[in-house]
Amino acid sequence: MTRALASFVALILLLVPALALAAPQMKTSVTPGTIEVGDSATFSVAVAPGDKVTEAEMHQPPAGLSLTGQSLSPSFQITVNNGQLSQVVTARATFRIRATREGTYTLGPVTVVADGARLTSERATLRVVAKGTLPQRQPDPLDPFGMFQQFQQQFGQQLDQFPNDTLEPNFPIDPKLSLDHAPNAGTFLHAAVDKTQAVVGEQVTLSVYIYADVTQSEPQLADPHEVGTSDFLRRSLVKDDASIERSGYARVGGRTYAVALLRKYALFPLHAGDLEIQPMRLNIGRGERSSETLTVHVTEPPMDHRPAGYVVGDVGHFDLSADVAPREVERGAAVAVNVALSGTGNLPSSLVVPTRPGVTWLEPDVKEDLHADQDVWGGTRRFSYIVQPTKEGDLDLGDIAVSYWDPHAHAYGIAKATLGTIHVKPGAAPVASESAKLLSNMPQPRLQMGATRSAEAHLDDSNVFWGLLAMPTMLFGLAISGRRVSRVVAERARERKTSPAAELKLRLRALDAAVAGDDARAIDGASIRALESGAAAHAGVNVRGVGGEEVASVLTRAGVSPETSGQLRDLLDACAAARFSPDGAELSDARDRAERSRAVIQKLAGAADEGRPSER
Amino acid sequence: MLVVSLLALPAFGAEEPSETKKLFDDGVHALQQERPNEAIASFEALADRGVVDATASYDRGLAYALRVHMNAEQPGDLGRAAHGFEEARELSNDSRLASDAESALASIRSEVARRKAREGVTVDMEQRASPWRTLSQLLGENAWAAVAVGFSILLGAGLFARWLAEASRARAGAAIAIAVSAPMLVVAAALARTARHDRLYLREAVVVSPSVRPSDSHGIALPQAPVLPEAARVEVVDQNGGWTEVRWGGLHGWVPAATLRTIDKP
Repeated sequence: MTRALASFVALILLLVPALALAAPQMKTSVTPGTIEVGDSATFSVAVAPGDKVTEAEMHQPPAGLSLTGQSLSPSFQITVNNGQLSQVVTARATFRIRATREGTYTLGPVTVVADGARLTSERATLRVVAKGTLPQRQPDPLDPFGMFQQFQQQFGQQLDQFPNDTLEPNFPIDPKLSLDHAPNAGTFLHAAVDKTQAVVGEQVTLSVYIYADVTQSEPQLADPHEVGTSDFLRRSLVKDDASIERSGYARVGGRTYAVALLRKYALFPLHAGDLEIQPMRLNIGRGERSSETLTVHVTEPPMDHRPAGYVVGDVGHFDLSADVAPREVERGAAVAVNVALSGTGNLPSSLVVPTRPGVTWLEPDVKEDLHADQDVWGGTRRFSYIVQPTKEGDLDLGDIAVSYWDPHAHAYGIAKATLGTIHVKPGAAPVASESAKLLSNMPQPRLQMGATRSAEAHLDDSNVFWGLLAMPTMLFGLAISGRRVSRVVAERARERKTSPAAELKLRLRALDAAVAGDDARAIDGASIRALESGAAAHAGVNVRGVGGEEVASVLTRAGVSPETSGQLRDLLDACAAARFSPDGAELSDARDRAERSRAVIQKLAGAADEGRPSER
Repeated sequence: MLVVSLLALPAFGAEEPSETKKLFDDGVHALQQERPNEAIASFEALADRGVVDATASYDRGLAYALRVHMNAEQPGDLGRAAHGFEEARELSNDSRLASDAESALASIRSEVARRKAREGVTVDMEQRASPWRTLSQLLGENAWAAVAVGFSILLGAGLFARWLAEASRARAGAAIAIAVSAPMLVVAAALARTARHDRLYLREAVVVSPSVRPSDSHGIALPQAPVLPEAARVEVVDQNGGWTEVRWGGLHGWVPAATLRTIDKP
């Protein structure tokens, strides 16, 4: 028995935690806890785990309160605990209560059906006070409508009491606001333009949104820095820039965000080019957030069919109307001309009035009613002119016209108002003197185009001109140089002609010619002259007129080998003896001496080429 | 399709001149009818289309002057009138047109000077260019180039004569020719070069705002610097964003680009 009791107790101890884990927890809250008559409060019950919750019903609210709406929505959370994945589903039942009478009321309980079982929540107390009793809440300049406080009241305080704060109630998602990914976690800014290409003066609508993760606590918005739009004329499309307008809910990177519109501007580009819109910056309490830098490619409207008088920047769709009163005045009296320019787009701030002789236009009084209509800027500008006729008779006041580029029609348009004629009677005002007017001595206009100089050809555009400019001097320089060069060449040629080597060549040629003949004396004579030239050319020694042994010694002193010197001396002696022999010499002997003479000269040349020092 | 395109080509080509002529005729007609605003609109439309014509510029100047004359002056009208006349002078091959433009310009500038004098400011509207530039503009680029060629030939002849001649008188004459022609060649060539540089790179504009105070490159107004008067012709040195660096006589500074209008050249 004791053992059985012990086993039962042990079993109970094992099962209790499991049962405790399986039992749903219910949390009840009402926000705000105190409201004024006519205001609403939210009574909510969160059940976790709530995957089996199918119904939620609140006990009939007491008299003085009315139920204005209710919802039941689940949310999911995946947690990792010791490496194990687990999913928790929380069901949230929300009841919107409106107070119609003062008093302290008890709300609930709420009955929840989970997996067929009925669970009952705790009650909550709501205090309702008279209208105007509660202190006025100081509006946040960036959150005057308490949008983020609503988040806090609706979700934040309750969710904090649950295992996590990432519960995501179901919201109607606006796909147009959804983004692929969030640039920052939690809260971020996002800027968008309705077009990235425009013409100068065309409206570009810029929207700046703030995205806040619905499961995160309220961002503390502070220190806003406006978007930079120095290249644009900027007009706000919302009535109050300090207000935040809730735009809806969006899915961003798989999470749900509440989206509010911070700014909405009509931007009118002031000039052509790639114009940048600098980001808006905002401190959210956890750091600074900034929107994207955007670029708009801006061009001028087309030149084709552009009307005369069109001013770049006049874009939209304009209408003009005018009335003139009175139509009959005295000279110098005032005529009122009221012109209304209306339409969409950036309306011109001034009009070009028709200047006519005898009519003076005074500066207009301008009143405007410009506003946004369905995000399109436009309205009416009224120009009130005073016109003074200075000439009598019927005066045609002419037309007032404004040309504009219509981006929707892709065409130019002209808004025109015809002012008509006024009749001017004689008046007391003095007639203005024509000569007193400024610039009265201007020449007459020209009636035909075409008195324009064509682009002239210029001499100095050509490099040939600069070459020609230097040519005479260059020619002179060339002539001087040429003459100097020719002199040097001639000098060298002359030197070459009179050199021992040149003479030796001549002598050897003469020797060849003599050998070819049959005069033995002539051959010997030519041999003597060749040998003398050879000694002069190769040994630098003049042996002419030097006799006998002296020849050999002179050559030896000049570095010629004794053997060659002896041979040369012997040959000279032999040739001289044969040449002057009374009996004459044999032709064959003379030719033999000539041959030997040539050999000696070659020896001298060989020695000279090898270098005399070695021979020495 | 191809045939239609080919047939359309001559018509398209013919559209542009007729539109230009119509704008010019409308402008002249308005000018004759003493309707300066319509005339200005037509002549400015011509300028927007890139039409460079001395007569159109001249008549545009007259249209602005007429608006001043008719007591309907807008700020900058005198400057724009002066711009039209300056451009006409620059572009015109008709000496009478250039002369009329010059006399109209003188009237405009004397009116500006008169207004300045009424404010207690004395201005010299005609700021002279540097003596060197004035000299280069005196004969023009081609004339200076021809003079340079002449002196080059004379120099070459002198050099040859001095080299080849044996008679002492001839050699002395050649030496004189060399001494004169060598420096004159350098001067004439440099003047031709300056004139060419001005033609290719010098950009000028007219002040089309009642008064412009020059600043330094950081946008800070130059102390003691005189105000640039309307209708003054200035030299454009550089441009940066919405600012233009200008030189006017001895004055050198930056002014908003919108206060100037550039003069077209042939």
